[in-house]
Amino acid sequence: MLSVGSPQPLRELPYWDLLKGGMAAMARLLNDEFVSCRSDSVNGAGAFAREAGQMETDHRIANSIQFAAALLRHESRQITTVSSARTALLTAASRLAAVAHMHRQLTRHTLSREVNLAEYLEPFCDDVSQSIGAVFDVTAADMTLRSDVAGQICIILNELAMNAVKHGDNDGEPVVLTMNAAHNGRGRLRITLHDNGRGLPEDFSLREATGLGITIITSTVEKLGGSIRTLDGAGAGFEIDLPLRTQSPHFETLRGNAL
Amino acid sequence: MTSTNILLAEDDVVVATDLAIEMEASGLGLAAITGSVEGVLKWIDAEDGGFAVLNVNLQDGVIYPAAKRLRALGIPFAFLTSLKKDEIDLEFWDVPHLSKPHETSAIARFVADLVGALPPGPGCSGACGKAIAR
Repeated sequence: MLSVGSPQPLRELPYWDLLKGGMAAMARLLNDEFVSCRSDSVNGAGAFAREAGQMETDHRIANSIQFAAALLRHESRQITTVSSARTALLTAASRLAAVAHMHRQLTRHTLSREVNLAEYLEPFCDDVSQSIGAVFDVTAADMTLRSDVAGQICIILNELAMNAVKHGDNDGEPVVLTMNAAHNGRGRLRITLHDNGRGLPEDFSLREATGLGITIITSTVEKLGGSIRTLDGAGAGFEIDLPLRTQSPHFETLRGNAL
Repeated sequence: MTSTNILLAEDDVVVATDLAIEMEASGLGLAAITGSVEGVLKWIDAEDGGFAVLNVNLQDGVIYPAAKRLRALGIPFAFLTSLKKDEIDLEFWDVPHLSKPHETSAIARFVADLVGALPPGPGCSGACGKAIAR
């Protein structure tokens, strides 16, 4: 058991390498952001675009650091043993990797703001495959959407992938998530996703689930103005309905003030 | 510390949960968490005063309409946001403000100091822990 105030030096704890890895990843993420800001200021299309873009980046970084700190504190509350510490840090690292991916993509797409969903998802799916070993099999209609909405979709998919790995009980078989993204009537996007695990418990309820992963999923869907429900069939299945043109009050406010 | 009826308006559920735990551990009477301007307006209608900690950009828009109502009703509030002071609407230049990111315990102390400076008012009897639709 770990104990508070243990005299054991931090560097000798078994999860020290993980912790170092997490901190290094965050440092790389922030460095990428600032390099990108400097690059924008040299090559940008105009003073307003530079200022708005930099403000946007600054706010995203500030919010993400607050999120990362809260996430690590949340995970620390789950730690009772070295084994649980390892699990908690790996979970936090995976969530931070999804946020890092979102930042990288947003930096690339800040000025265009609209991204192709399939192109956006491809490198994300590669990241998830490498980090937690879950493979996405994606079929996506040709559609564009705001880069910040696409980034939030990655946050949702990352949580669903982590759940599939954690609860799928796949007996050593590779975890595969089959995803389909299609237009759902005018201006809406429907994502269906099934994993190849043992499925959701009979009494599972999205509304009543208390885990952080499901809470992140439902609150992110809600933030985007969409809805989510479970699907019947083999494995755990979900259907997410989202508006393609979600307003982003955050950035509209910033741009309004910049004017 | 006197427990006060506090609303936390924050649309990042991980940040909100962490801060709520810290605030309650600090003895602050957290009444509700909401991620929307609509939730703030419901809290204003349902509660008899208290104190509000507000992110400026919530999932359904900016907080300013709700902040105007809070001000009109004399309910004190503070901003907790990634916006810098000079990026907040000039109308609210005098509202206490803490920029993200900040260490969670420092945010709780910031709120505790503000609440501690309030004149005696409504407590949290019966209202603490009440959920408001996000």
